[in-house]
This record gives sequence, C-alpha cells and structure tokens, in this order.
Amino acid sequence: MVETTETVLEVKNLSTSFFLREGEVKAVDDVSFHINKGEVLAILGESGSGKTVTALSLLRLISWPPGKIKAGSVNLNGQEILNLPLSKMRKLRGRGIAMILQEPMSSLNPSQTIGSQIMEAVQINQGLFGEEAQKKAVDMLNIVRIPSPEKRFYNYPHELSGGMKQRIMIAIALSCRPKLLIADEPTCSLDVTIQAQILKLMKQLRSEIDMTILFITSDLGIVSEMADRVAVMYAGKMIEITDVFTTFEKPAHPYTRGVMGSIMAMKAGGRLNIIPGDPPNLMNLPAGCKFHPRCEYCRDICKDEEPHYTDLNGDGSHFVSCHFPLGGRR
Amino acid sequence: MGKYILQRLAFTVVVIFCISIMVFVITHVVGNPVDIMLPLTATEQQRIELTQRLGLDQPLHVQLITYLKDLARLNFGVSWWQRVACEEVIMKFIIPTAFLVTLSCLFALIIGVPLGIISAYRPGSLLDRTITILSLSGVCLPPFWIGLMLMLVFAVNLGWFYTSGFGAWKHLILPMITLACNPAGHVAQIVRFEMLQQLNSLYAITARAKGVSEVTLLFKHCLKNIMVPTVTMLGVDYVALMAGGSATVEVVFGWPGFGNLITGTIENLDFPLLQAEVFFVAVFVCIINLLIDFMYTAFDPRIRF
Amino acid sequence: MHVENRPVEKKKRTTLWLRFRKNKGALVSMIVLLIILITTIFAPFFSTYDPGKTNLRGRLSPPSLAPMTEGAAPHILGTDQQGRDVYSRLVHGSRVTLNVGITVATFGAIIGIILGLLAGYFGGWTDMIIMRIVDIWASSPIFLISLTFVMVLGPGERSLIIAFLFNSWTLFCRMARSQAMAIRNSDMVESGRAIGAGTGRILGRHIMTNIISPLITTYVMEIAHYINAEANLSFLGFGVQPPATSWGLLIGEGRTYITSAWWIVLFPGLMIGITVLCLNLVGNWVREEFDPLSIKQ
Repeated sequence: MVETTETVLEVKNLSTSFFLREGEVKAVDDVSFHINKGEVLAILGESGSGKTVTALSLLRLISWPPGKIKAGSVNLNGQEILNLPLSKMRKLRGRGIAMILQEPMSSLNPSQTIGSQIMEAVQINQGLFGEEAQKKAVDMLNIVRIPSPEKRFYNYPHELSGGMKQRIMIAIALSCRPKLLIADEPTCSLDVTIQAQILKLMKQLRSEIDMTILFITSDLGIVSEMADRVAVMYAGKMIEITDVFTTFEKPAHPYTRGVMGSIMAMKAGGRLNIIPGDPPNLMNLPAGCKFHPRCEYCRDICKDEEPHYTDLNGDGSHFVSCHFPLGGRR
Repeated sequence: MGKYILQRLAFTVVVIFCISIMVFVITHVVGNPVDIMLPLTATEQQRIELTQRLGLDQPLHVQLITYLKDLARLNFGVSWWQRVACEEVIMKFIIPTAFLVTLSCLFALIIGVPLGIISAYRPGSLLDRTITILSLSGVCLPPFWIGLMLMLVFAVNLGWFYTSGFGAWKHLILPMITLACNPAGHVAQIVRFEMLQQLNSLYAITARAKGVSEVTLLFKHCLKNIMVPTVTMLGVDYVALMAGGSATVEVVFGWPGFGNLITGTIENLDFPLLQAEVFFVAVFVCIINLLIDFMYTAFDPRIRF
Repeated sequence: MHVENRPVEKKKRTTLWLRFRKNKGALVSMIVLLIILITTIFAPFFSTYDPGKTNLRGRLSPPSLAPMTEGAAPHILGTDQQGRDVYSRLVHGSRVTLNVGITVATFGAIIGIILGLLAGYFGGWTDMIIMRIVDIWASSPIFLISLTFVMVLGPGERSLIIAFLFNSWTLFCRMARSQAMAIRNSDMVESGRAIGAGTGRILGRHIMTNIISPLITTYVMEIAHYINAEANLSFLGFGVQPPATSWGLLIGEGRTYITSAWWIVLFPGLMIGITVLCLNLVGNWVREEFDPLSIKQ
C-alpha cells in the first residue's frame, strides 16, 4: 500500500516563555517539527526541558500570567491555530488535538463520575446526546479494557486505581476522536507492571485505530517501543529530530549520543557513560549552544554562537542543531 | 454514619458541660452575683437575704452540683428581668433572629458566589479589583455603621424603607442587607481564591483539552468543588451571627431578636437568662456544625462518614 | 563565616524593600497605619480642642473649615450633641481601640504560641489535652462568654481585654501547633538533634524562624479582628464608659442623632473601616510574600 505522507501538524519557531518576578524563563525556545499522519513522534528530554510546555502550547493552554506564547506558527491540517479566535480554538481542542496528562491521580474531576466525564467528551466532540452518548461512553470503557464498564460508569475517580484512572484519561482523549493525540508521559507516575499494561493498551489501540500520536517521555525504553521518529529536547531547544533507528544507532548531537551512550555502555557491560555536569538552570542559560558547558566536543564557537538548525542529509530525514554534528561533516 | 453521629453528640455533651462550668466559674468565682445585683447602698441585711435566696451561702461544690442538676433537667429557672421561664423568653426572641440571619446568609450566598466567580474569571482586571475592594469593605467596615448609613440614605432621606421595627418587608430589607455584607464579602473572597485554584488545576486542563468552554468549566466542573470551603465559611458566619453577632444590627434597626435580648440580659444582670442563652447557643452551634458536615457529603463524593 | 554572610543578607533585605514598595496597596496601608499610630500616641498634640469640652451653643454644627468664633480652630468634622469637636474626639478615641486590639493580640500570641509549640512538639497527651481545649473553645459561643465577663467585671476597657484574651490565644495555638508539627519531623530538626542541639534550642531557633511569617500574618489579622470586636461592644455600651471614648462608642452615642447630624457617625465608622482594611492588606501582603506556596505573579 502506497501511502502519501500527509503532514498533520507543522510547528515552526514556536517560543513560549514564563514571565516570573525573577525574570523571563524561556521554557520553549524556537522549536520546529512536524508530524505525519499515522506516525508516532516521541519528544524525548529530561524533566524541565520544555516537553510539556510544548504540548500545552499546541493546545494554547498556557495561562497568562505568567506564561505566554511569544512567537511561532502551529499548523494543524493546513490551519494556523495560534491566531485563531478563542471560540474557534475551543472547537479545535478535543476533536483537533486531544491530550492525556501525566498525572492521572489529579487530572480527573473528583466530584463527577467517570462516566459523565467521558460522556462530556463524547457530547462535545461527537455531537451525541442522552442514551446514545452514554452507550458510546460505555463502549469507550470497553475499548480501554475496563472490566464491567456498566458498573464502573457510575464510579468516582477516587474509587479507581492509578492505572484505571489513566485508562479513563485515554478513554476521554479517544472519545474526542482527535486528529492528533498528545500523550504527556502517560505512564510516568504508575508502577512498572501497570506501565507495561498501559503501553500495551496504547500500542493495541494504535493498530486498531489509525492514530497520529505525539508521545512525550523521558524514558528511552518507551521511545524504542512506541516511536517512529524521535525529537530530542534540551533546555527548551529541539536539538535533534530523526527516525528512531538513527536516534539510537547514529545520533548526531553530542547530547543524544551521551544519552544513548549510557544505555549502550550498560548493555555492553561497560562503564556507565554519564554526561558530565548538571542540567542547565532555565533562569540562567549559557550563551551560545545551551549544551556547551557539558559537551566534550566543545570549541570556542559553541560558547558564543548558537548553532543553526541544519538538515543533515538534505532530505528532511535528520535535523540537528549543532556546530559539529557527529558522524557528519566536521 | 451512626457511629459518627454518636461521636459528635458525645462531643457536644462534653462541650456543653465544659461551657456550663466555665460560665459558672466566671459568674460565681470571678464575680459575685450579689455585689452586681444590689446597689452600692444596700444594707448588710439585704445582702444576706439575697445570698440565702440565691443559695450562695452554700459551699461552692454544692452550688455547682445544684446548678448542673438543673441544667441536666433543662430547668433554667425564671428570668429575673422578663419574669417568665427562661426557655420561653429565648424561644420568643430567637425566631425573628433565625428568620433574619437565615435570609441574610442566603442573600450573602446569592451575592457573594457570582461576585467571586466574576472575579476569578478575569483575575487582575478592573472588575476583579473593584469586586476585591467591595468584598474587603464588606468584611472590614463595622456592620452597625453600614446599617446606620443605609438607614440614613434609604430610610431617612429616600423613605423607601422603615427605619426600625418588625413586621413588614419594609422593616426586613435594610437589616438583611446590612447583616449580609460581612458574610457576602467572606464568600466572595473564598470563592475567588478557591476558584482560581480550581481553574489552575490539572483536571481543568483535562476538561479544556477535551473542548469544554470556560463557562461550562466554571459552572459544571469547578463550582461543585468549591462548595465545601464556601459552605464551611458561610457556616462559621451563620453561627457567629446567630450566637449574638447580630446584636448591634438588631439594636440599630430595633429588631426584636436574640441580639437585642442578649444586650438586655447584660444590662439587667439577669444571670439565669444568661446561663440559658449560653446553653441554647452552644446546642445550636453543635447542631449547625453537624448539619454542615452532612452537607459536605452532597458536594464531595470522597467524604463519607 | 558571619562576615561572609552579611552582604547576602543585606541584598535580600533591599530586594524585600523594593518588592514592598512595588506593592502599592501594602505600602499605602503601612503609611496610613503609621499615621494613625502617631496621631494616637501624640493625640493631645494633634487635637484642636479638648475632647471633653462641651459647648451647648455650638452643638450639632456640621463640618466646616470656617471657625465658629474669631480666632478659634474650625470644627473640621463638626460637633456632636454636646458641642464637642468630633475631630478631637476621633483623635483621642483611637487610643482605647488600638490599645485593646494590640494588647489582646500580643498577649494572645504569647500564650497561644507557647501552648501550641508545646502541643506540636511533644505530641501525645500534652497535644491531646491542649487541642481538646481549643476544640471546645471553637464550639463555644464566644460572644456570649465575652459578655459574661463584661457583666461580672462591669463594663470598661479592662473587662474587654480580659474577655477577648479568653479567646484570642486559640488561633495562635492552632497555628503554632501545625507549624511545629510540620517541622518536628523534618530533616532540619533531625540534623539539629544529631549535632546535639537541646530541645529548647530546637524549639527556639529552628521552629521560631519558620513560623515567623504565619505568625505576623495572624497577629496583624487578630489586631484587626479585635478592633472590630471592641467597636461592637463599645457601640452597645459595654466597653469604655463616658467621658472616656472610643470609635465604637462615638458611633453608639451619635446614633440617636443620625437624622440630623450624620457626621458624628460617619467619621468614626470610616476610621474603624480604614484601620481594619489596612491591617488586612498588610497581613495579606506578609502572607503572600513569605508563603512559598502562594501564587506569585
């Protein structure tokens, strides 16, 4: 089957800042990427690198004050959404982009039954009401493998376990029938066995329903299991985007290599190769390349000049933001 | 559930017991009723007679036991000032106050909740700042002064309402609004604060992400979640107003209620009536607190007894 | 080591001052409170008339900037039913009001914090007994019990202070207890114990430095609360007795003349409102500034 690669989401030069009393925090700085229909793009980065803020910016859910989307363009299916009026933006949330938050424990309304919270998504985004909506909501509980869904429908969030709540979150997001689903570390607060169950569920759902997913995570294992392509973020910058194999085998950015290297070395039984230094303080970022204080290949230009975003192979398959990408032209 | 009610009732009994002893100690140990009741010019003979009549010549522990026995039998004695049984006096005066205070608190809820929500909807806006100043004024200005000012403008100058008395709706409006100012300010403040927290919570992001509009979010999702702190706040105000907080406003508007009765009790040095009032109010406070606890279960499914 | 620390502390203090100046509400409130405090302390200096001096010919005259007789000071806020100058009475009346508020809050804080720290730090039976007492106080009709004191001791400033003190310690007690509980098991105290600091030292140094901000907030709010309470009881005639006066009593005395002389009632009420409002704003500012959990903009 020949698939034409259709771009669902195109993000260009997105910048989001928080203006605190202590000064401006550039949580997302000049980020560009795209997602094709039907693929899973993973955004990989340590905590505080701007992954969640990127996701919330796509939904325009950054609350002012203190946060603000400063510049950029977000194009969903050919429609620019950053300058949409709020009423139209609201209609785009849900059926355009839906989101699963990372904290299932507090991401559901404690005073409403889970049934009514799923039904609300069905009503808004599928235009179904009354019994039809209820039937659909019970179906959704079935789809996310909740046992005895008719009974669970009337439960309150506090009566469910963490894994169950995350299934409900997935059910709510899927009920929106989104063009793009953002999953923001959907397993990070769950214990390991539940994590595996949720990941399995998401993989199954992906093969059942043809979905485009933006998967945010800090877990390399999840990336290798779920992702088609990987975007790596560091200190609010997107530093490398390429397919999952290249990311793991031939990363071009020293940071990515450092992250991958630590895994490879462990697998090979060698010494753990930890990236030296600490993650940067967003309040006080270094000049030039944000990674340079920790980079073993650092030269003078890295300290002064911020690297450009370069297309390594010239065919759009591998972008990197580094003065001296590894394995490429030196 | 049953166990919880029993626990609360037991605590209520303990509270009332302690408060009764407290009042006994204040009236019999700190002060001497005879000194207060008789004029300074009273003769020694008069003092002895009164001491005997009140049973004050007996040892203190005997007096305390007699006093507690009477309380346990709900026998409060006869009011010296009104010359009828204390419980009758209280019943006669507490109904107008209950009527007035209940209406005031409902009014405060009707005014305060929308103001708080409007404030939280656009924090920092001109409207928000105006409402904040209004609710602060409602909390800070003394209620009797607000009452006098309202009376001056709306009753004296404009003649829309009566200045004082009881019976017609024209008597009711001004004291009701006056008493509502303070709780309405509290309600508006707490609704704004809690609403802002709810609007910044994770479940609000979930709701917005599925396409819920801001207004639906406010009313369908958040309003129910802020009801527990709001009702708690209003309950505290309600109890305070019923337990004598309405006194100054009742005096201003000549409202024949419990507040006026308390003022009279103190002025007339009516000990039996005061003890009965303390007892009634203590019971009332405990009942209202119990009711508020049950109201929580209606708003928050996580709370069960 | 001390010398090294000094510049950092100084820097911290200046930024605090800058932020304080930025918050206009708190700054204005602080200035207003200072003015009120100074006029109260130096009342004879600021008043234009003897507050008790009657002048039956000039009674109930409205506020005016023109002097009534040649060479006399004008009655800028009018005169009352006995021809006394309202402005001068206002300046003198604040003494009782502020005295009651500050005394009750100060002694309440001392008693409450000692009991609260004991309850929170030692836990067990001490905690049980102290907190049960606080619970009972919370469910008792405080207004009526205050009035019982007034009835027994006779109306007056002293009775009010005793009656209010009876209740004011409980809030401080709760606050100090919860703070002490939170800190009791924290690493900070553990490490203090590990290096051999005694119980008194732990209580004194570690805990006190942490509760200072909620303490200031509660203290300021309690002053405001008891200023209002004093006004209420004075208005009913249970507070300070004439010829002495307080803001609440001024309103109570002027209330009968409300139809003909609104100024007797208006100004004392405004003064109570402004004082309580400023105290609230300062208290809120302290809470927001020092509470790490509050939302900052």
